[in-house]
Amino acid sequence: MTDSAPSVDPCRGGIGVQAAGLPGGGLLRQQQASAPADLVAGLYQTHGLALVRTALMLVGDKPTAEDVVQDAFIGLYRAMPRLRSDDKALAYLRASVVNGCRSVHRARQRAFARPVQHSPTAWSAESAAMAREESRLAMQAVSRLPRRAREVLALRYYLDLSDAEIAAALGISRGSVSSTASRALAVLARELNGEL
Amino acid sequence: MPSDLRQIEDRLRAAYADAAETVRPEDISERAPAATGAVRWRAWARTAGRRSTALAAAVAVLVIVITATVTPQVLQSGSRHRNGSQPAAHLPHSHMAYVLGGAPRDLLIPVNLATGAPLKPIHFGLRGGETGIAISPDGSLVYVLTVRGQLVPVDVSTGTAGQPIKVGGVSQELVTTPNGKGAYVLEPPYGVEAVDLAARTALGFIKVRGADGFALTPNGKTLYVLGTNASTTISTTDLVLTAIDTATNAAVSTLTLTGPDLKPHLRGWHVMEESVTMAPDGKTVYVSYMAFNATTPLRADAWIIPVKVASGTELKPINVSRSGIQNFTISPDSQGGYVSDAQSVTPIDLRTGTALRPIPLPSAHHSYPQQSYALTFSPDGGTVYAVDESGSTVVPIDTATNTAQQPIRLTGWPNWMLDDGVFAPGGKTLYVLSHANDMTNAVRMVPIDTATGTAGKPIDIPAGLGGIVFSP
Repeated sequence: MTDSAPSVDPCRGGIGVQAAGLPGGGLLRQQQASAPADLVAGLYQTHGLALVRTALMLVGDKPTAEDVVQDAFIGLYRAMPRLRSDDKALAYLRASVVNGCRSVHRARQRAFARPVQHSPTAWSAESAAMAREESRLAMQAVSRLPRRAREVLALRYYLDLSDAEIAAALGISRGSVSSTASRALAVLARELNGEL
Repeated sequence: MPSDLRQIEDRLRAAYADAAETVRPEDISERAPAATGAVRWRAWARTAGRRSTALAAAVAVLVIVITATVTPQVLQSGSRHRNGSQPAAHLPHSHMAYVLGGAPRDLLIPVNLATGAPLKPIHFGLRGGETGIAISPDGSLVYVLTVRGQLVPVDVSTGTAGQPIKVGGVSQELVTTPNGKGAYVLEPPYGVEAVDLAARTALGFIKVRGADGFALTPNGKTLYVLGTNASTTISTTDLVLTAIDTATNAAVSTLTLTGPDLKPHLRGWHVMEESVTMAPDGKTVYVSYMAFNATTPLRADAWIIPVKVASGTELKPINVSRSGIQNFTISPDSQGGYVSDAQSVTPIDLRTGTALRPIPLPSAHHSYPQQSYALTFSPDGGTVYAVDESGSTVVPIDTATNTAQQPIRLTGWPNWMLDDGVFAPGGKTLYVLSHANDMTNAVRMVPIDTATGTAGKPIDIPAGLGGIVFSP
């Protein structure tokens, strides 16, 4: 079992915004009068990296994760004229990224009909991207969970979202978030038994 | 060997952090404008479709679909009905179901059960995640609760929404009193908000530490709120049941439960999946939970604690399972119940407080092993229907003999994943709810004639499932 504290990602969950002396979502409020493109660009600067990393947790490889996030931002840009409040933009992006990742998985499931090439996952044996073996094994165990469990765990333990925020991003109830996480943790506890 | 859940969580966080490190900031700065103007963003958008991978192009198209369908809750509704742009529906009051679209939606879909047709959606004009739905006793009003604490009354005969009632912070569950005049909103983990539906105003907040669930007595006089003294849900090791007098909206008693493994800060133990369920006769309230200990050897025990409503006393706990309680349902006569876990359904004799032998059920598919069976009693109590959340079958269980009957097999798996079963008024038709196993999260209702065990024509609804109510 590792006792090393996970590193703090300054791009997660609005932390980067707070570091700039603004409350969560303040970046958009500050730039309310700016053009939509500037608002989207600001969001990309603040949250782009964290969202790519989140997408990586869900799809496994970096190129696909970047594509998903790019398209989410393009979708946001197109939707900006209809966006009612600033703090919804991040929620929009999270939902778009999660849905984009789901689409990727569906495309891969249809690979028998039309093969889709994608890179090996960052935690696969053929990838040297992750150096620490115990983290690689943990991510492999997570990758064997069902889709919803993977989404809940990534949003909870990487993005540090609250259950309510996860519920909003995934379109499920808070109770489902909680029960899904509980079951997933129990499965992981069994799966990782003996590996530490 | 992980020593407890916290270690699993720590390991997960560390693994995610390591995985995140594989994407460096400079990786993405090459792909997108870091600080630029509209022209460059538009150019980026225009060229996105010509990027090298076919997958990227496909996802770009899907994002447009997402923009149009999946995320309307974050977008300004251009046709809010209160502005008159949503035509009045003039819906019938009977034989109707109302499906609340899953967040993010802003959709309430009326379904005519007589014709099996979903009708024009009602937009209630609020975004932020719909988390609760209730219907007035006369069926004229449907109440929609959003996660941001707005309770919206919707006149279903005209398809118009009234002024939202502001009820507080993050709101998760809604219960209305039997007379339809009041409601309570759960705002975990802080407490509940009392609402006067007749006056359409919030009455005030009732603080309950660690509030995580509630149940109302059938007469509407007492609201039980399950809470905890622990600071976080994950590390909960104690459970507290608070009784609130709905006449005064004040807490009248608190009971710190003393069931197995329920001790504050008990090393290695965590309480999960706690919930509170009221017996239909209103005499007993049940608190169920799973006590989980990941120390060697791994243990997980599920318990149900009965609490007498009249005296507020805790009765002997019932040990029901070793792998959690996914669902707990009580018979209409309050004499028995069933719990389900990942492998089986277990009958409970609530008169004696004993768990009986688990009933093994067939599971057609095993790719989602941690899923479970949703349980629904028939109104006469003669049958409990186990809906296989991992498969395509509904298994009727004869409650007199506790034996599984011939499964009812539904088509559509794995494109449609079963969620739950719910009886329409009249008690003859069981509607099995499922969701599309894709980004649309569409809902399917399959009516089952319980007399013959045959499935009828599915009703497909283009919305996620945030909840469902039936007209009386």
